[in-house]
Amino acid sequence: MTDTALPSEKHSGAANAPADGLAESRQSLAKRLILPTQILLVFIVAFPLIMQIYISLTWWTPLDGEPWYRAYQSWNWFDNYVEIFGDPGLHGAIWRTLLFVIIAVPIEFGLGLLLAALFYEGVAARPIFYSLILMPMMIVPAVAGYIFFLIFQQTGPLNAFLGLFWEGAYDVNWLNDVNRAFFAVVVADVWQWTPLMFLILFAGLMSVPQDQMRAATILGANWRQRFWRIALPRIKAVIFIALGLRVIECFKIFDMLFVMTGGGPGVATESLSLYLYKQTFQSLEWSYVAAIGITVLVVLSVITAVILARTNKKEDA
Amino acid sequence: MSSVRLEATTKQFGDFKAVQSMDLSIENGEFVAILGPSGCGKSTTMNMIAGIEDVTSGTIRFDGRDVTSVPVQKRGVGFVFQNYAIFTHMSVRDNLAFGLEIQGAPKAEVDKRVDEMAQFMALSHRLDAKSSALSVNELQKLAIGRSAIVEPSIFLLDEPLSNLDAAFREKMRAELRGLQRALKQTMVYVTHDQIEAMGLADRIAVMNHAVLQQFDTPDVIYAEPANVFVARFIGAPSMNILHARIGEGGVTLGGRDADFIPLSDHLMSAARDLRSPDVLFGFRPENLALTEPESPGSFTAEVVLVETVGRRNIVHLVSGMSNFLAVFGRGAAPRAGEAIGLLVDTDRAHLFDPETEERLMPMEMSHG
Repeated sequence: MTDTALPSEKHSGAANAPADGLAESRQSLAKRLILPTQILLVFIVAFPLIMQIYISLTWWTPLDGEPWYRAYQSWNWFDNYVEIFGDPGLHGAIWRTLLFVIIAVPIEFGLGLLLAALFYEGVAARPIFYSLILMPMMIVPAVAGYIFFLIFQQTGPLNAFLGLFWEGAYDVNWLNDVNRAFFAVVVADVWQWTPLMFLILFAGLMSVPQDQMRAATILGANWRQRFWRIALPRIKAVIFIALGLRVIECFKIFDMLFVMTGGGPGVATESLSLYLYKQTFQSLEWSYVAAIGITVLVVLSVITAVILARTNKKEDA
Repeated sequence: MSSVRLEATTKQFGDFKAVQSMDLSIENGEFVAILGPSGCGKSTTMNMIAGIEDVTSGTIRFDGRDVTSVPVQKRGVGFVFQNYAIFTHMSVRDNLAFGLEIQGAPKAEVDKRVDEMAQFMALSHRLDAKSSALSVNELQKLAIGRSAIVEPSIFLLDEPLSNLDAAFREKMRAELRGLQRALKQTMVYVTHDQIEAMGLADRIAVMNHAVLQQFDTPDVIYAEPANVFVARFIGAPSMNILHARIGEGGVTLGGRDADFIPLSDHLMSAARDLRSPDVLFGFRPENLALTEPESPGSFTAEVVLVETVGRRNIVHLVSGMSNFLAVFGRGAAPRAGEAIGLLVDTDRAHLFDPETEERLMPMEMSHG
């Protein structure tokens, strides 16, 4: 075996070692080679996390004029975390974000599923519609926000269009009314992200075995029965992925709101991300933001772990 | 349970003719195999019967009733797919119940009939199992049971055994035949495997290049093939078809006068209308007998190769320009390179028209 050893091993002085000694030294070489990457990875993941936790346990803000590593001077243990529970601004932002997710994601799912079902059964000029439907998804969210900012202007095209059906001019100020602004933001999000739902669900439907659909047809099932009894149950996993992706993404919504309403009027469309942004760059309460960040991380980790555990259990059953 | 009639049924995909003016009449309760090489139009034929494919022209009748424009959901056929197309996300029970539930049968009746069918198919103990956990054997039974429960007028099977290995296929074939008998169903079975067709079917429809070649019982198709294609396609090894020349009271192979084979007047009468003396002479490898070279009535050939398969020797031979095969028992084993004499069982030999490749009918057999 030693005759066939690689030159590198000869250099490492293992040429005369017995076979398992050779394997061992090869392994330790491998470990040493991987080590720098591993350290880098740990650093990338762990450092920001540790830094966040550290800062979140102090009152530190950049206004102190101290560098962040001296934050211990204003050590306060868990005061920031306690403050989270008594912050109506934060609670409002979380509530609005949840409401936004609960309204926008089901609409996106419903429309996406409808489109996917229509496409699956085949529509005329499919490739053209396909590109058209996917277009919104390709637009940068900030730009999409700007498009809808223009559409919902008081003198914008939407009012002009609605004016056609009304006596006199229709001049609702969409983005300056608490409820209308929220509605406008939901419309923009649905417009932009329904295509993603459609894409994922359509891909799922395409993976349903044709023979099974055909077998159901021959057994007398019509379009609806095939869809509900064969196609949908078969793409359950895909539906979970699509919903999961959109819920997570929607929960983080920022750029579109920032452009369209800036969170206004007042705080009517202020999402969690937008609230954190304002805390960071307007109030400069960095230690508090860090505490919120860590809390969100913990909550999301717990939820994910529970969902994963349940999914695994189901697969075993 | 019904009879099926195809009348001048044609299917065209663009310029490509998949099935050309097919006439086929399947009796009630009959087991018919549609046999042919890939791309011959056999699956298209079956899909047209099922209603999965539209008919370009012609008529399809179930029990005399025109069903040509009846959609697949309403046509009432049972269809067993090549991979069985079991709904693997459902239990065995839900699979069986599917057709009845779609029809809107009351729950009590669905349960009763599902239980009956499960019992009939010997699947009762598996009713609540996930159908993805079934063995192939159970899958076949489930696929047939799922179709049979809605009492289809006919059953169509699309090469359901082709995914199985040879040994298991034989077992499943027997089971399928038994089920067909028990269900007393008209069944149409598509396959490219002639052994399967010969073993299963009451009658076989042989197709090639979109055209029905012959439709008859396995015995007739084997003994009296309609043309060169059927003769070559049925039987393993397939029939030898050699160029020959009609002479006085027989044929000469490969233009060598020494290889003159005397034929009966009966067989010679088949060639009465031929314009040229050229003819195709067909005989099965098993209808050859070994004899001394140059003995009377025999012809001479040289042994190229001998394959031993079980109790048979398959002998590859060359005579003049023609290669052909002979099948002998284990006793007769000529050696490669040897020249041997061969006697043809001329009662089982055939003459084919070299232009049309149709079999030439002897006098008594022809119907005008």
